Amino acid sequence: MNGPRWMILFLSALVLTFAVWGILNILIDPFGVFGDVLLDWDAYSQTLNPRIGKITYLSAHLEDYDSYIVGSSSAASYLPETLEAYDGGKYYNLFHYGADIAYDKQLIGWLLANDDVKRIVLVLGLSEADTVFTAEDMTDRVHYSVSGEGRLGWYGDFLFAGPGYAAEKLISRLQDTEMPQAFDVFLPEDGTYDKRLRDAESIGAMDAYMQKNGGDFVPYTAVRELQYMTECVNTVGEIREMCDAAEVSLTVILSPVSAEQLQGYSNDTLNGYFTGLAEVTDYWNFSISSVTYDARYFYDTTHTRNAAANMVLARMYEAADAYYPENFGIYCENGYTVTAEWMKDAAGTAEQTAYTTNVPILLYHHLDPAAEEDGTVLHPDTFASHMALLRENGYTPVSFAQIIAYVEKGEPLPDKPVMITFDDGYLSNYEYAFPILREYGWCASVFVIGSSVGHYEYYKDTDYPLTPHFGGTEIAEMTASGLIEIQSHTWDMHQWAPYETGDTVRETIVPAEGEKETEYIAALLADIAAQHAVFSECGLAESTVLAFPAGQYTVLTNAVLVQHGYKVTLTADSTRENTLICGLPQSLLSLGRLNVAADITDAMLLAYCAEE
Amino acid sequence: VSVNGVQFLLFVGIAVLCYYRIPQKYRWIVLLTASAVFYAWNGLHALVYMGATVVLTFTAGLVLDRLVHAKPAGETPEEKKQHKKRLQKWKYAVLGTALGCNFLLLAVLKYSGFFVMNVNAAVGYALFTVPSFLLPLGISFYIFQTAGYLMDIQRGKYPAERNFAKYALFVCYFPQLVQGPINRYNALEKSLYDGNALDWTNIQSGILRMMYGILKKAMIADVLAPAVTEIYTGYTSYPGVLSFVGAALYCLQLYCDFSGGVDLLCGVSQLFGVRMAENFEQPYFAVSLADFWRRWHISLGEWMKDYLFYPLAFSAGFTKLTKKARAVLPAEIVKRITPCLCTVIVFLAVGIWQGPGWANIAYGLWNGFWMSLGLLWVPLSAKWKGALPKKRTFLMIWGILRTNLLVIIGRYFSHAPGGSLRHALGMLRHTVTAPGFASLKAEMFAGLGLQAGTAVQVVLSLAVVFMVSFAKEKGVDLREWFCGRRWYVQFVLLFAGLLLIVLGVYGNDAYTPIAYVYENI
Repeated sequence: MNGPRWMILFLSALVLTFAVWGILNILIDPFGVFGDVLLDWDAYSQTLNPRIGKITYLSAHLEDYDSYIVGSSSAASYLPETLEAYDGGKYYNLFHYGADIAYDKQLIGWLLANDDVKRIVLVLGLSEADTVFTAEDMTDRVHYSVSGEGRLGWYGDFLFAGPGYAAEKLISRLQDTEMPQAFDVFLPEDGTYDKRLRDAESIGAMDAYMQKNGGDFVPYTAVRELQYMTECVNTVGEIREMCDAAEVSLTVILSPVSAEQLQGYSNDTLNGYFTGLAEVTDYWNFSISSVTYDARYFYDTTHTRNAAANMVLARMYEAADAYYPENFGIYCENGYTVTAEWMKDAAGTAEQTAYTTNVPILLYHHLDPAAEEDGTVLHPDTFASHMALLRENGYTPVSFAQIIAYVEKGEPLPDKPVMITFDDGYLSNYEYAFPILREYGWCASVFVIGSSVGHYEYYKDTDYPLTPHFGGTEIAEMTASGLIEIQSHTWDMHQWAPYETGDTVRETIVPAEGEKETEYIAALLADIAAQHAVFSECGLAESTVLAFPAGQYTVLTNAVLVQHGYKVTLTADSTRENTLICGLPQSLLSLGRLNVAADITDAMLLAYCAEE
Repeated sequence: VSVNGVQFLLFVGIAVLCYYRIPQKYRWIVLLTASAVFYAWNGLHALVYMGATVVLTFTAGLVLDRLVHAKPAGETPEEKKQHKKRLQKWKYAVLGTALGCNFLLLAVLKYSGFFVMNVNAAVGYALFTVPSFLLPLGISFYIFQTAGYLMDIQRGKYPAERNFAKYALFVCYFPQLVQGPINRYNALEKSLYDGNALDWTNIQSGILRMMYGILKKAMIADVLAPAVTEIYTGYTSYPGVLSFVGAALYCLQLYCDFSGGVDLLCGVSQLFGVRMAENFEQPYFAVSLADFWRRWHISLGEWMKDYLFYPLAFSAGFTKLTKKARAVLPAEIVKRITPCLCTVIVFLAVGIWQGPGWANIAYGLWNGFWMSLGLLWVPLSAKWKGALPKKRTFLMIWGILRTNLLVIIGRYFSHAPGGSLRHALGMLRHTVTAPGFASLKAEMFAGLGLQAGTAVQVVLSLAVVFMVSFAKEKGVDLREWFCGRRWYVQFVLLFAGLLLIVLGVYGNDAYTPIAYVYENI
């Protein structure tokens, strides 16, 4: 081969190399800028680069929205659906990684130019005034239509983006499951994080919370300045002017700040920021409150939980049926501002006991005057003596409806609350416990296994004898009293292995060995549906409380249950301190219970109630 | 500027196009211009140092040339002899001054910090502030190259270059600037100045060699570098055996870094039809340390041999020493005293060249010691070696292993952070006293940044390097083999190679280019 021909061969190979590279990026399209025809995976593109992913998504769906939430990842907790419920706006959350007020302004400019915008909610933290965002790689790039840069060069950069991005997307695809993972954590339809799993983690006592999550709370030890305060304030002022000129309603929220972050700034610094903002816009100041000093309202140092953001919105819209703390959020208008000192003082007056309560929960099973007492069988007299003991010691039983109302709405609970629960739904609960409770006028809950309801003799449709389980008639009578709540112990996920013939025996609600996530979710949903059917047959409302069979569960279990209307779940772990926290629904998950077995003495029972 | 960066490659492409577009006679001007641009691109301050060296050595070369060719004046033979002696003295004076100035500059820039630190340590307090200079790109390479040139002129080997611009090109020819090789004027002169006609074989070899160089540097050396640095600096946190692994990995890193850079730039030079000196010949296949040094950094070794070893060995001092030794020692030993001592001195110089720090001096002595021992060993081993069977594969493998062990141990010293001898010895002690084979785990390598994916990349690339080296060792001309394939085979191979390099290096966001180890030395 002669020289020029070889050169052509070489250059062709080089061109082919680049062609393969480009085609790889077009087909796999990790950033979703080429239409992502092959994998069609918006959640992935948004997770990789929310700035571009969201604009790409929004460009195709602008007509679905008229209101927008703008800010850094601290704005992620502000949910479009919650806002829509308050003011009817069709919201999209445009939050992005990294505090970057300059980008927020660009973004709002883009929104005003491209959509008939009604409302904009701008969520600020302290970081916007403390740092200037610097883009490091492709994951920080901005959509060309927002930045105004040349389209050709922009697409060229993505055409020849590192092949690592495409490789990563393919690997992620293989690992993808129904639930969100680190690589596909966004909900493209509303721009928020998919927190199904994250918000299904149970939260209780502070000690336990910090033991588990303390590492995420890095205190700002050295006192620092808000070094970009002027730039930040000026930009917010410009955003205000832009919105006013376009006659778009702009709400500015200074979001709750954690104590760990707050301690990095002096009162003077904070006051400078508060005053600066007041000079350029009316705004809500939620930065310092009792929430600040309770880490359970935060995911980490700089991110509030969805629950905390819900409280912010409840306060702003003065929602009647939602909890928010006192002295929470000050609306600063016409240049009015509060001082950091005042806010800290106001927050300090709120004791933790004002919004948290510990509730001991007792777990009973079968009552039988003829049998010997053991782990799950007690003599009815023993049960009666426990009730007397509780009354003597000043305990008042509360219902699940009450604790839910406490957490969701802050409705107070009586002093020394206690809960009485029964698992499985034995007829003996009706025969022996119900009369005693009626005598006391006390409430209790029974968790029934749907497939056993009304099975007085045999285990499901077999010939195996069974401890009698009550049926519709007893349910009707008990619920009519207003004292007994019937709740779920699963429909058929508490099977008795020796009596089962199927391939998969489910003794508890946790996934079977080797079961895929999708299969498990399908099985769980089928069980929930069957249970709803049983409840409906018995004239009961859909259950909102579930006691885990044998107390076992996974985070996924809670996630699926919460997604399908369950508000409280229960284990059989007596060491778990049940701290209910107003405004934090996760404090209702995986509550612990004391299994009151034959070996539990009166002293032990009282000790458990007192420790709780 | 990173020489395996896209900008540099584009720069080379433009220079090559210009080179072949203009009349042959003026082509060297393109090279000079490109070299000036390249050097200025790396920092203007460096241009001052280089300018000084060029002017000084150019002038010294002319003066020396004149002295070499001066006819001894005088009427009588006695007068002529006297004049010749005077000329000789002048020659040495001019050479000495020029070399002295150059090496003094190098010494000040490179070693003054080390020197002051030791003075401060000796007096016990900070007597002087420790100076620190930004070393100009490749300074020791061009100073060695010009020194060789002057000594050759002084020896009358060839006449001095009379065209200043052409001489400047010899010194600052850009492919040799980053890390050598140290070229000889008489070897380079013709192809550098005459203007080469377009020869496609050169273009083809140049491109292939550049690709090979980039593979070595970016796919192996730069990937190993962070892990090696971590092991060397934090060796106490790992089992001792990992220190050894680290030193062995450094051997691979350094080879791929140094020879990869040289391959890339020799390839670039070949695009202009200029063949630079070869610097490596599969050093890790060496069967003895002496063999290793014949294969490793060849141009430095040759330079040391011609301009340090021989002048020393034939100097008056050593002649006298040999004479005196003859009176007390057997002839067999006396014959080897001078080579042994000169070897130690040469390797001391090599150690010092590596950089400041006692560890580098120790590195020089370590090599010098084993090389001298080898010289003394030859007559003793010759007797029983002859008795060994003809088939010597085992002996060869043993030789290779033994040599590499010595080289690896040497790398404990030459790469000790800050040139600290204490650090090198500490790491060596850690290897021996706390090897901890049992605690060596795969996760440790992942923690060092060598996760499975990265490891596969390095191993694959090393396999390519091994195959190429093995073929070369067996005397196979791979370029010839490659060009003998059918066009589609060549196309597929080129495509595979380019895909590997383009996606693994230029398209890889995780890839961070690292400066060549010997770039600023």
